[in-house]
Formats: sequence, structure tokens, C-alpha cells
Amino acid sequence: MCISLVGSGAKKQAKQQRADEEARKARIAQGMASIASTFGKFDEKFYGDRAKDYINYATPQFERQLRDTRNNLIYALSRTGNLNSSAGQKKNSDLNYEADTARSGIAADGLNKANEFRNQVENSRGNVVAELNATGDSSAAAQAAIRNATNLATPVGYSPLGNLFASFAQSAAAIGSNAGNGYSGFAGGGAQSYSPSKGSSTVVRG
Amino acid sequence: MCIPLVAAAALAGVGGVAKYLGEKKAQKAQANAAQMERQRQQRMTEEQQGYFDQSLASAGNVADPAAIAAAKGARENALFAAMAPQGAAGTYLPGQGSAPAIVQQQEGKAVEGARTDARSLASALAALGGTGDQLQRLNIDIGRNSQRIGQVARDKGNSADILQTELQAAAEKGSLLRGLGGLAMQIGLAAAAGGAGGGSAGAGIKAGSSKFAQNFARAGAF
Repeated sequence: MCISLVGSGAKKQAKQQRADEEARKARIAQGMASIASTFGKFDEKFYGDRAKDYINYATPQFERQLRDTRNNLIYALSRTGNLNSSAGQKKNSDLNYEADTARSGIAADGLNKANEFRNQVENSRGNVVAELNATGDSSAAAQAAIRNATNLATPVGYSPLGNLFASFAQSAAAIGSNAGNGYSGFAGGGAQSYSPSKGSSTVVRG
Repeated sequence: MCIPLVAAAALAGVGGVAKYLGEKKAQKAQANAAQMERQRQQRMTEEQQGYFDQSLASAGNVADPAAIAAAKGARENALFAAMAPQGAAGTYLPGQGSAPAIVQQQEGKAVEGARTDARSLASALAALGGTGDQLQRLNIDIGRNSQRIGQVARDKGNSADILQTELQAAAEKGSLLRGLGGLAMQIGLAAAAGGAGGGSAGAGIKAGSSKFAQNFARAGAF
């Protein structure tokens, strides 16, 4: 009958629409699972390793700079006869402070680099999710996730460290260059704490 | 042909009841469809609320002193691990390794003091960086929850759109009963009118049927 035929058409259409929507939701869920799986390798260990990579990259540069700076300090102190002075000790402890601060700075930079990477990964993940939402195509989203994750895993270039001891090196270079303080390089001069050869202290004229 | 008045009235009554039942069936089907959609929307709203609650919990965590201390501690450990250990032998200037004990003590004290200062600085840096770490995690959590809330919002919209078609389908439920009921009612009424007016019942039926057919066609039921 005509009456029942009209009814079955609308019902069929409604059922089809509902089925299509459920299928779309299932594809989104599947796509989200693929994204979670692909981006799952970017875990805490991964970011921790990136921080270590940076530290491993920066530390040799730092050590070289520290060695040069320490040598320059020793030359400057030796040149001015301050190697065994209390002012020399102060300068050495200052260098230790600078070195430790630079070490912690490198470690902090490593963590910050890892965090930058974390942001990039999250942006990339967000783009893939947006693509999935727009298309409802789980297989395309899975491929995009792999493509993005592969690109992210490619090492990025880092610039060499700047001069970490520039300020200290400047002050060390100034030792013995100022007649106003008896070429000691220290304000008010420096006091010789001991003399290895004589076994007694001498006062550096101020 | 002559239909007794009682039979005509009965036919009209049965037709009316059938039509009523058909309408009730459609109404019930529409109410069911609406109810099911309401439940779906409710479930999805609860899902969204869950994601929202997660975001709130993450935000609350940022202000939690224990979480702040943990974030700082994690950074502090990493920074301290990179620094010279406290209490370890210092890097002395040449010649001071053989210096008198008092001089070595003074040097050691100076180096240890420098380390303490550097650690204090690192600790402060860790506190700042730790807060940054927390905020970053929070942003990631909120971002992900927002994505899911957005997805569910889209699901809700799509589902609500489908409801329109489902309501149309539900409105057509009982259409056969309504149609036949209406037909019977019209015939019954026409027959009754014909009988009561003294005219031919057959003519009344014919007129009533014709009128019904016109009404029915206008309503688009066929």
C-alpha cells in the first residue's frame, strides 16, 4: 500500500543516517587510537633522552671553554704573582661558581629544548587530529600521524654555545693591567696568602 | 444498498478510534525517538563534562603545593646532577695542592662557598623552570581535552541533525491505521448523515467517500 511505502522510505533514510554517523564515530575513534599509538613513542623517556642529547652536545664545548678560561686565569695570576694570593683563591672560586652555574644552565637548556620539542610534537599531533576530524578518514589520519612523527624524529640542528665565560675572561684578562692597583687586577690589590718557596706571606702593594 | 444507522455510527466510531490509535502510535514513536536522542545527548554531555573536569583537575594541580614541589624537585635533580657534587674536592690553582693545610682549608672553603651559591641559583632556576614545566603539561592536557570536547560537540550536532529525519520517520508510524480509520470514519459519518437525512444511504456513502478521498489526497497521505 502507498501509505506504508511512504513510511518505510523515511525510516530507511533515518536508519541509514544513524548508521553512517555511527560508522563515522567509529572511524574517528580508530583514527584517535592510531594517533595515540604513533605519538605514543614520544614519552617521558624520549624527552629525557633529548635533554641528555643536548647536554652531551654542549658539555664538550663547555669543558673546552672552561679549560681555556682556567688556563688564562692561571697565566694572569702567575704573571702578576697572585697565583698563591687570597685574591687568586677568590678568583678561582669565582670561576668554580661560573662553571657550576654554566653546568646547571646547560642542564636547564637541555630540559627547555626537550620542552620545545614536546610543544612541536603536540602541535603536530593536534594537526593530525584536526585532519581526522575534518575528513573522518582514519587511515589517512594514521598515515599523517606516521609522516609527522617521522619528521619530528629527524634531528634538528643546534647552534654552538656562545662564550659562557666572556665576563669572567674579561676580568681575568684585566689582572695586572692596571697601574692604579699595582697591576694586581684586583681592587685594592691582593694579599699573598703564602709563598711556597719562602713559606711566609707577602703583601702585594696596593 | 442500505447501511443501518447503528452500523454506520459504529463504523464511524471504529474509524475514529483507529485514527486516534494511529496518531497515538506516531506520537509515541516520535516521543521514543526524541527520548533516545535526549539520552544520547545526555551521555555525550557527560562525556564532555568528564573532559572538562579533567582540565579543571589539571589546572588545580598546577596550584597544588605538592605538585609544585615535585615539579621543582624534578628540575632540581637534573640541574644538580650536572653540577659538581657538593663536598667533592675542588679544582685548585697550581701549587696549592702542596700548600699548607690552612691555605688548603681556605681554598676549600671558598670553592665550597661558590658551590653553595651556584646550587642556590640552580634551585631558584629549578623553581621557575618547574612552574613552566607544569604549565606546559597543563596546556597539553587542556588542549587534548578541548580536542575531545570538540569532537563530541560535533557528534552531538550530527546526532541532533539525524533526529529530524527520525522524527519524520516516526510521524509516519501508524499511518496505515490512521488512513483506514479515517476512511472508515468518513464512510460511517456519510452513511449516518445519509440515513438521518432520509436520503439514500448509498448516495451519502458516495459523497462521504469522495470527500474523504479529497481530504486524504490534500493531506498527502497517499
